[in-house]
Amino acid sequence: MSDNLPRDFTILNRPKIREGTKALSTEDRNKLLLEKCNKVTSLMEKYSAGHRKYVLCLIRDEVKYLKYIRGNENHFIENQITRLTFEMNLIDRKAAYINDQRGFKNALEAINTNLTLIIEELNSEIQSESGD
Amino acid sequence: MNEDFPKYYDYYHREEIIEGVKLLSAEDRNALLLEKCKKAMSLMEKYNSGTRGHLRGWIEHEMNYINCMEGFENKFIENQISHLIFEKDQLMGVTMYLHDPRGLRIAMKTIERIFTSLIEELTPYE
Repeated sequence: MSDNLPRDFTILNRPKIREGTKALSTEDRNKLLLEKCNKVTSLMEKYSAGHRKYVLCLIRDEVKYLKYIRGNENHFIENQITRLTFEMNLIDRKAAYINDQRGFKNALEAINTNLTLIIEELNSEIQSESGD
Repeated sequence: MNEDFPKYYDYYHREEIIEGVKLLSAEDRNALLLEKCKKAMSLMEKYNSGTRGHLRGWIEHEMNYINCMEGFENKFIENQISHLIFEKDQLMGVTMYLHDPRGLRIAMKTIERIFTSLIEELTPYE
């Protein structure tokens, strides 16, 4: 995997992430996606356990990184990342879930489901690639 | 209920719908949203059973109408409408679900779930 590719998201890194991930092989890109999704999943566990504010920034950055990964040909993964980004943006909007605990719980559930689906899909892709 | 604003979505009448809905009482606004959700839900059932083409436009119109409805004080309803509009926009993206039937099924289920929870929330307790 290229060493020039930034590992963490910052606004200034966006073009490098886009270009760097575009140049990756499918296998490497899938591995990177999987790594990022696993990271978000573990952060979500902390977030759900109550460590809100600090963890939210970290999750947001990981999801933004996912958003800027280019060259993915799997439409399912692309669409699920779009949904993940939407849910994160809504949580990130300050007043969105104030006085809406039920909606907030639904959103957390949706994010976890999305992540599970993406990870499952990536694992099966990685397995089929290594089988080839 | 004020009868002066359109009850069906039309691109050129959006402003009238937005203004008309804003002027409704909370009770009337909820009743109108409930009616729209039930209508969309019944159309969705037909859509899933295979009568696709023309129903898609009707469902889209019902969702567009819901998108024009403002002034809810219930945050849950507001947020569910945001979700609904996101899913609608995704579905309307021409190439979005091309080669992704699994994603399409998930989107349809999500929309159904949103309508169900909106109907639950809006149905008055007896």
